[in-house]
Amino acid sequence: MLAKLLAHFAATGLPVALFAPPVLSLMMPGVYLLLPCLWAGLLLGGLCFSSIGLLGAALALGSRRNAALQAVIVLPLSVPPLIFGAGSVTSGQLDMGFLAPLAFLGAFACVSLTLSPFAAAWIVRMKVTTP
Amino acid sequence: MITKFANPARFERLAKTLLPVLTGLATLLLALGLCDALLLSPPDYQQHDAVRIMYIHVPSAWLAMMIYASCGVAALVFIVWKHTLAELFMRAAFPVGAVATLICLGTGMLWGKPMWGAWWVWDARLTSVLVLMFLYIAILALMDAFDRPEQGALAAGWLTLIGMINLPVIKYSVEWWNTLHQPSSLSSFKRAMKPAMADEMLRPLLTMAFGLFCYAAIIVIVRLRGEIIARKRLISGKR
Repeated sequence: MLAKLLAHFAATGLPVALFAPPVLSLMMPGVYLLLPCLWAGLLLGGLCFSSIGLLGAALALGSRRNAALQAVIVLPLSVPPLIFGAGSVTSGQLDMGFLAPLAFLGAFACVSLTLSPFAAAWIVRMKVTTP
Repeated sequence: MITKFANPARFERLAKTLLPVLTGLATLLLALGLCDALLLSPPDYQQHDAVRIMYIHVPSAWLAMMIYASCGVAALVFIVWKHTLAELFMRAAFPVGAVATLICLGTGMLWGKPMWGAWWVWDARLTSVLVLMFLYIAILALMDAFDRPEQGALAAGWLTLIGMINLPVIKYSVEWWNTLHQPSSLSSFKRAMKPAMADEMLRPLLTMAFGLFCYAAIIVIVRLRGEIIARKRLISGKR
């Protein structure tokens, strides 16, 4: 499960996290000041989203209307990382230091990354074994 | 103790004795509470009559969180011991909790417009309750998305347990973050002894709260009876 999660992150979250901030700073002047914040935020946020998505996929496994259901499950869980990620950029722009929201984002990433593979594995195992 | 009450026949007997008592209590408390809240209690010195929204807003918020917590316990019981009654309780109680959350958000918006000048702000309390609403919607959608009801309840139970983390976030959101939403006036038993609220306002608030709790308990019990009958039909139909 962890391998699947990391593979998904490497395919979707990682390229965005690596290449979006420099491209953005070419398009918008002043963004380069926030480059470290954007890199860290997108990396941690991508990890959060990948592990939330893992849970969503495990929960919706074998259901009808699989895709729509996944979106509904993932929506409430992905609100906190979104808020902290956006909050870090906002407070970075206001010169208030972006580390505090990033710390929350990092905490969310740590918890979700360590727990969601086990939870997802358990859910899938129970779905397979229950008659 | 759990196994004692997990017997549907025993639940049926319990429901028969509880329902009239709860109906009487709910009628009495809601009638008294509404009179008290709308007529007898004084208007606020700043908010005037708009403060009366509190008497429905706060109890429905408590109700939404209490139903979620009780469903969390039921989800744990279902996942660990596979008690069907726990599954049926989740099916009976979740829509009631979702409606309570909706009432809480709706009355909150109606209250926010005249007091804050905005229907909605993205502050921590409001956002975490919105997350609770989304969780309720996701769980309700997940519960009915499988061909076999046990599988749906299993997935929904897991999501319920994951979402339990949101309850303390809702409760302490007004203390951890700087919010536009006011901090709690009755946050603990210690403060409930000396609440930041006048007695004439506390009395209708608590009356309404207990009245609504009784009312919600009636709905959950009646819905649970229906769920039990439907499940029995499903089982006997399969044979």
